[in-house]
Amino acid sequence: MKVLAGWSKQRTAALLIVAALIMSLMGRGFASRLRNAVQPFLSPFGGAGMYLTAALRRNAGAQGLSSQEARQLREEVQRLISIANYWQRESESSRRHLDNVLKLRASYDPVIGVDYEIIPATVVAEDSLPYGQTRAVNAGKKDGVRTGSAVVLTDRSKALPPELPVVATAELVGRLVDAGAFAARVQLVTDRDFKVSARIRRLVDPNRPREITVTTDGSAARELLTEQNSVPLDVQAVGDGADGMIVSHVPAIDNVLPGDLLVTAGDGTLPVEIRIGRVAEVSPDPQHPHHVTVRVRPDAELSSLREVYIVLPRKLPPQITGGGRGR
Amino acid sequence: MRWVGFAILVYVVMLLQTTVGKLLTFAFESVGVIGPDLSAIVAVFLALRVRELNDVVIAAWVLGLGVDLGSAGGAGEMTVVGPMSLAYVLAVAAVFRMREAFFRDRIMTQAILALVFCLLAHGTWVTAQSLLGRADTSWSDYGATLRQAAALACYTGVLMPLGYRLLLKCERWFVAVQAGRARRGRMMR
Repeated sequence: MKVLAGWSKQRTAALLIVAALIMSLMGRGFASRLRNAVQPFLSPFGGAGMYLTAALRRNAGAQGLSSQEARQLREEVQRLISIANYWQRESESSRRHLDNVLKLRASYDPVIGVDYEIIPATVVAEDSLPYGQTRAVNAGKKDGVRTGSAVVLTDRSKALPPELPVVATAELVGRLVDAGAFAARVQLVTDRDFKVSARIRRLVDPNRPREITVTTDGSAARELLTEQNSVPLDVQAVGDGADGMIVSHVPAIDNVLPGDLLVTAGDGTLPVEIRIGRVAEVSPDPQHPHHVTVRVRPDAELSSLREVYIVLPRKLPPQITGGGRGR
Repeated sequence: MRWVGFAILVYVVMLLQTTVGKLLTFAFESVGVIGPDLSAIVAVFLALRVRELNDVVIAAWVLGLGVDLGSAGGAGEMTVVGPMSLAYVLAVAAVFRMREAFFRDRIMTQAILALVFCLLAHGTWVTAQSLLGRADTSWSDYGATLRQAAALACYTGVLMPLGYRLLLKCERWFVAVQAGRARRGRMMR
């Protein structure tokens, strides 16, 4: 009792400072447990807040476009006009083009025989600081989620019957870096520490022909990119800490162009190809003259992210995608 | 301090900072994502308005813990809990010492002190987290995050006068004795 009677705020402050020092040294495991213990108290109101935030961001995005988006749209419109003209002039070529598109679409169709579990979750909070790009979701170990799982968005969610193995059209939004009993944390693809093995799929567009260097029997030759010689390029993509991803050290001879697709490499915890984003910009690498740096804009609208799906492969599937070129 | 009212305020600020407050964030390719630190606004407000340093230090510690609990990214895969409490305590003590040199109701004072607070707190936090997660953090990551912290400090400084006015309206719920008021009362008697 005497101790309590003589207890001062100064002592409390000193004790708290010591506690903070100890907590700092206890590492990430302790931090993870503490965050997971607090998250359920924030989730009920956090869900409502995130609903409001996502709705406002979506509406704001619908009303106004940035100058860059407007420029991209203008370019897209120009490209579509030229494609339409081309189709009128060259009906035969356009039929071939359609075949190419259908083949490309077929490569994203459901993969049969891969056993997955898809766990729906809702984003209930963002990071309180802007340095990292993570989101708290309301699914935890009690729902079966595991750290390291891929997190995707899918447009097939409502049609998914129980136990259906794979989604058809989806976009990768991140991966789980932490999972507690009732909550988990998703690291978005744009986080500076997010790294993923990926592939760039160059689109074969008759309206925009491009030359690539093809090596056969040790001799290199310049050829037009066609469906036959278009192999996916294996790359490593990292988040840029803002709103995109960066792929460095891509050989300039591969002639990657804006509009090409970035997809998952189909290995690790997500053994299928899922779209990540689209090449937005290709710029020369000042330190490596024969290489370019590729900037990718994620397909998923990450700023207004709400419903996500955690993908758990029950077992590793057989190799299901075409062979990429090792780098 | 009225600690029950303050606990509710911390909860509300944590909620705002992790949800609706994100409407105030902007992404720049060169700097990254920039958003205000709402907890810093509360901490600077308390440093300017509360009489006792110990109360301010305890409140800043709680606010810092709230920020650490609500944020997992920044340096490496996951950040640790604790450095922001220490950083807030350090920064709030500095602002508390500085407040005598300023007129607290001036917009410029509030903005400058919020800037100084955020530079101190976030600079310390980024350095501590980078040191603790040095296996995952390179010098360029550290530099980029510091640049982001400086931009965050400027942004928070700009929003501080607005936050100050909003908090002033509900001050009586969490501040029991304001700076200077009790002393003046004694002198009157």
